[in-house]
Amino acid sequence: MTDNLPLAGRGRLRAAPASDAPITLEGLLGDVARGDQAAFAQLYDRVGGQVYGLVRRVLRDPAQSEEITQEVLLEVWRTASRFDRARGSAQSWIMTMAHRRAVDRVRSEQAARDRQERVATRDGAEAAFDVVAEDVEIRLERQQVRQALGNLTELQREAIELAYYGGYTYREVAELLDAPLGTVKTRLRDGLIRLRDTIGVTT
Amino acid sequence: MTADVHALAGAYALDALPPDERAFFERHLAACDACRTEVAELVETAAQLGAAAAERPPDALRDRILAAADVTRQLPPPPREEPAPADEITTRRAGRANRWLMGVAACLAVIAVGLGAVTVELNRRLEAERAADVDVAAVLGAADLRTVELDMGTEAPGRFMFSASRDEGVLVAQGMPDPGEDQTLQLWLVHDGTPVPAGVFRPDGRGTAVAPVAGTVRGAEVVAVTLEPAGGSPAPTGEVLASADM
Repeated sequence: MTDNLPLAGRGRLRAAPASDAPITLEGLLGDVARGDQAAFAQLYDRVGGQVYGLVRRVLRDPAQSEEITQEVLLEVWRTASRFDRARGSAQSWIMTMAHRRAVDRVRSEQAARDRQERVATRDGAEAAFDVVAEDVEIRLERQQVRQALGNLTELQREAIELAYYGGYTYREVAELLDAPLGTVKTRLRDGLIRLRDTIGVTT
Repeated sequence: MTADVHALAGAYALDALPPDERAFFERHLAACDACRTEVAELVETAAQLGAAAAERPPDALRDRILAAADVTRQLPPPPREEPAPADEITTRRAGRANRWLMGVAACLAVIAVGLGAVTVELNRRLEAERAADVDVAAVLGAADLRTVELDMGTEAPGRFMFSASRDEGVLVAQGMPDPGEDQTLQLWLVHDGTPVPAGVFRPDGRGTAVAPVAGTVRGAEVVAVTLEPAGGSPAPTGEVLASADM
């Protein structure tokens, strides 16, 4: 079946020929889109740990995290042909999918109720924040990202970590940090812009 | 107001917007080039934060995922983007739909300000939107956006807006009665005379229903809504509430 696909003109999707040249994630995704299971295994080896690690950071529960990781990777397999390089990198396509699914799970009905109670209780709120902050500090392995986070103001960093790793909405973040909504909204944006400039992200 | 909308880009890139504001911002994104560029960069940045959290997954997970892929069919590639025929009727329709949507966006913003809290209904809606993995902003911004009206027995007709090139669409209706705990509304797309399930949905507390659908839009002849037992049905069993030729 893959043999019948017109490969001409789809250069950007083609993996490098067998050589030492590193295959980009985008290249692998192109092979995956054509049903190449070996390429999918390689792709898993590249991003599986990132997906699992992020999902587990947000969800905590290992069993649920495995479940979501499986859902995300299968979605990558299923929809690889819909990946559009013009709209972003393969890594961000996959990580966005992973983060959204994890956050959806967190914000499911029951969890939302629990979290509202937690936010409403001052002690609970502080405990939740401590756990997140400590966990983030310990687990951040990438030097570059850690340094970039270190360049942020305290409020920028806390807000971004709670929102992204904690899976909280900015309204909940404002509640947790006891800061005005507008301030948190602005800090999330200018903090992320600063991270972008430090890390040197290009689309 | 405008500056305020732009400020949501950070929270949006971090998936930190409540559903109502997320929908509002996505409609804004469809019309704001500067925001689209900024969001793309901030999403890449967030992905770096995600990658930094990497952790070794259990070995068994790899085998399970590869085995699951082995028995999962893949989606075909989307058709190449071709400029939509600049037919005046299409353009007028799109213009009307967009104006109407701006109205909805404004309403949602008012509701958001009024409530100041996330309702369970809105959460459900967000889940449905994400479950279908539909980029609503992109659908509404599609050059070949088309709209058909469905008479749902409500004051204003429901609208199904869809893009054949994206193979995605979204049904929006207002003033819908709650189907109750035991029942759900289900969307269908009819292909060659056979209704294909296109997702279940229910109106929120204010009677607004949003049902995104991906993958079975192109080539569908009819869009329809039925009332089904909770959880939905593989083939329609209930009363047809509304349908429209596509």
